[in-house]
Amino acid sequence: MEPEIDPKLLEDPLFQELMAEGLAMQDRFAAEPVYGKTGKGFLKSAGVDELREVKEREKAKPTKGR
Amino acid sequence: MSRRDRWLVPFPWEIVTAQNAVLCHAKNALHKPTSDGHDATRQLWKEMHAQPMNLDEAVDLCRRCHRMAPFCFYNGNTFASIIALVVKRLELPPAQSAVVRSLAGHIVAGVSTGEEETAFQEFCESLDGHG
Repeated sequence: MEPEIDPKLLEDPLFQELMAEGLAMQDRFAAEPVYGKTGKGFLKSAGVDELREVKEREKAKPTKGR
Repeated sequence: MSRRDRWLVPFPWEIVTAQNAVLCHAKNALHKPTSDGHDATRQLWKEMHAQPMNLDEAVDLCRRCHRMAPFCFYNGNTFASIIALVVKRLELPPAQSAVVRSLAGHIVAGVSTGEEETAFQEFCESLDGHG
């Protein structure tokens, strides 16, 4: 089924950030609702490469003053 | 910074649904509400998401909604990505951010240990009095 998403939402920076977060972790989750069915969730361990990428992304972020 | 805030207010149900649609589309999976979980989850989210709550309560709401399985597929990263973004917006030092994000993600995914839950609780308590 082709998702029907409000085009304005797709241009929303918050939603773009959310999509990026969700897609980045997609392969760690089971597609099926395992947690609901069994009461025990499923999460594949983050690989070394993934952890390194997270660290590099964090390092690359500009620091913000408060 | 306080642990009590409207953490989930930027994420109305329409965004939750759109997020699941995007995630399902990326994997050619069916984006469809479940017959037994969707309406109850939507109602719970709509009632709770804009309320001021402790950060651990926000994480638990995401966990509960994940478990209630409102969608046929990819409920886990739908709600885990929301809490990941909430943690990201705390703008913690990178190493601490990675740890807190991991703890919160494990809780929402339903795979956390007691030690992880305690560590996350302690982090939430540490938010009071900072900032």
